[in-house]
Amino acid sequence: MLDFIVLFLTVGIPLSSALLLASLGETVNQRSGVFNLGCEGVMCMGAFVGMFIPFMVGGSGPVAWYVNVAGLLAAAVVGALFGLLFGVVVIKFGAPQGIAGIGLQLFGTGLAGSLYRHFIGGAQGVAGINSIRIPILSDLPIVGKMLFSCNPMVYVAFLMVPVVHYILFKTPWGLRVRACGTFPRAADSMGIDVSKTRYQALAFGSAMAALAGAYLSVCYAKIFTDTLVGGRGFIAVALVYFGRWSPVGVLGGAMLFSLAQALQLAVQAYGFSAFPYEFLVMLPYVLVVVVLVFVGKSKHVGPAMLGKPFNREMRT
Amino acid sequence: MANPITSLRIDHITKRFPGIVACSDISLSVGKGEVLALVGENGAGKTTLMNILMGLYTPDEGKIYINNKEVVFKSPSDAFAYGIGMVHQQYMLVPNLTVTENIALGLSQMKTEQIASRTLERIKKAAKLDLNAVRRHIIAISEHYGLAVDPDAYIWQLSVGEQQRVELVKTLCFGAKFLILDEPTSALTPQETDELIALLKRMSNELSIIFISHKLAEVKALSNKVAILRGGKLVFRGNTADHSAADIAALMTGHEVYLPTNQSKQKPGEPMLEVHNLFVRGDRGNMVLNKLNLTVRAGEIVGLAGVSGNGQRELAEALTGLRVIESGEVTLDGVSLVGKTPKQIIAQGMGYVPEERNIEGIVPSMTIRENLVLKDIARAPFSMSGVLINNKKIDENADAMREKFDIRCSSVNVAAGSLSGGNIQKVILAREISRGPKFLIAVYPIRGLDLGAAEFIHKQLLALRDSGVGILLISEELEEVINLSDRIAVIFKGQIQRTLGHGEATQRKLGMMMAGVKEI
Repeated sequence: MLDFIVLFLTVGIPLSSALLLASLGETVNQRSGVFNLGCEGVMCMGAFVGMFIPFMVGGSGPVAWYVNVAGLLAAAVVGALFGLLFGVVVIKFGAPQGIAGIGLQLFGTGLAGSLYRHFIGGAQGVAGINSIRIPILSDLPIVGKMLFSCNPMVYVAFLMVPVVHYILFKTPWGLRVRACGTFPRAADSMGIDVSKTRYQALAFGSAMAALAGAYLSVCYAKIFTDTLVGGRGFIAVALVYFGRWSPVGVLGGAMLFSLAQALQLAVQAYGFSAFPYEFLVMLPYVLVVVVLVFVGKSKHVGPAMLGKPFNREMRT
Repeated sequence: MANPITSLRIDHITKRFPGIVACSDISLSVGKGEVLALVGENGAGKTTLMNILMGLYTPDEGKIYINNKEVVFKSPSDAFAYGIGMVHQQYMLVPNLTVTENIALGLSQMKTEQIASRTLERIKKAAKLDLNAVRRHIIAISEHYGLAVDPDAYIWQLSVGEQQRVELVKTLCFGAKFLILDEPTSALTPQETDELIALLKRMSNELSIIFISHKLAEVKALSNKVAILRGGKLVFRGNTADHSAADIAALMTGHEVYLPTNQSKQKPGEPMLEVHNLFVRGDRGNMVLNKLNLTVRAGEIVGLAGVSGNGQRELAEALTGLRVIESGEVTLDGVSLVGKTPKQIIAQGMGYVPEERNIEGIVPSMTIRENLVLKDIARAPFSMSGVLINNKKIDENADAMREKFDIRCSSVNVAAGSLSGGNIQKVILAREISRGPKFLIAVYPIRGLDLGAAEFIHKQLLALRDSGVGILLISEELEEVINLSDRIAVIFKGQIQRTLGHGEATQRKLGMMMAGVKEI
């Protein structure tokens, strides 16, 4: 039984990283009043760019490692650009965010797939970034394998929880972001440029989403396929609601979802046949839906003007 | 930093919005230590003018001068730089941030050279990291002006009066020496209002103030200059002391309009609508109708006069089932309306000409013929048991109504929203009257209409009265109320101040009662 739990957690923690990065980014987007349903597309682009750089440059040894890191950074830059592109559509032109987001998702997924087939093609992998074993700590029983032998990006993802929390709640920029999402008219009346703040938030959030995608291709699977992201972008958006727009809440959501998924994998690996594993495959999705139904609905927490374009001279 | 403001002048400002001129060629000036009251009806352009002054709207024409030098404000931070601050009617506070965070939000935004003092400069730096400095600044300001606020409370936890104080503290924290207050008392309780007036009076020793209001008692109590806007134009300016509240009321609402008058000698019938001890809450959750009592008999027009914001809208909505009745009794022809749905109330014989004719009165994207049968589409003759629509009957009805109510349109198949205001009002009136109501509530029925349409609508209302229908006419236009009503009830702060008979009421008398004077 202990082995089972260890396996379950060892699989679950890395699984949560991509979700965590993407939903933390989406949290910042939504706090500023824009929801990016195209998160999935941005993740796909991130996944492609992240592995494209090391695939083209190659190298070996420490060089390869740096090239892989460069891939991650390039993915973040491309993600930020996608965020700004989305911003032009929904902030400058005030397009409905839901539809524009679906457009971005289709565009990002399609473009990543096409570029992959044009430049790479076939199932070719990269060396990627491997897990590191933290000396001494990783030799501890049980927790050593679970917590101290992970991929560096897993640590980055978990570190981003307090970082994003600090940004949102302890910096003037975070204050502006929250004000723009809740009451842009008030922010405007205090001289804050609502559009600029939203562009910045979108760039940041989308860079995070792309980084999440790149984590999948460079660190997790070490390969790109069209289905690599596999709906995680949409789950990430749902997790933001689940986590009530708080980084810690999002962490809880990402862990719950990933552990439910890991449970299902562990059950399959151990071959429990008491009931069909298909039910367990459904479990994480069902969990998210159920929790979203019962999650607190206090209107004072989240961005009240989420999804509403802001135009100073538009009379309401 | 800019020199302190000694004079502010608005010169020939014009601002157009699609379809309307919100401000037309307005010139005003305010000197040091003056309190200017900007008075006018809803939609007169007061708020738009102040938003221009704050750099929130760009004027289409005209200029702003400070200390006789032209200034151009592109954003509120430009106005802050000159020490101008505004408390908006809708409070500009982010509900899920604390008081300190809200104020830090604005401070963090200011450019260094715009900051009015060295203390503020330190505060501004501190706002980057340290909310404690902002908190100390807030406490200093609130003690100086006697404005009690809790810097750590979340805005959503505060009452409306407390939020108002936060707004004032916020504006003062930004270094404002010139305050603009947009209807500062509109959401306050009477006690809070008295406190605020006393406070502003004290503050006016140190600051210049422009305040927007249509409560004349406040104007008299606080201001030394008054300017009246009507329909986007400046119609009057002068010293407050030289003019009575009644004079100002007449200037605010009066139109020189020839309209039909109620000359019928017909005796009203039995009570049709009875309102007993009605309590209703407003959008902010405060009680806006306080134990309101009113009776309207069959074949009688009762005019409800009052300055808007005294509970008229809430009364109309409560009577039509659109707003929850806190307590009290309302009966229509002996049947209680409390807790009934709008559908049940309509079935009981209630007709309604709402205030917002374009949003509440019609579905703008639907055709005229459809709008004419909105309330009856589920019944014969327009449909068979609510399932199959009888287009022939609907067409016949539309043609008959177009003829009878003089609806001027190219075809009854055009979208109702494309009509002029007067014709939209005719569509609404046609629908409501043709249903044969027992009672009709008409809210500002001719607001914004041209003379011809207004006259037609008044004639229809009088004819409806003669046919034995009880009518509650809610209006701010004293002439309209005096001309049409058999009795006039004056509403003030959610209560009927007094009821006057036809012939008993004069504009002057009503104006004073609307301003809160009980006995004349």
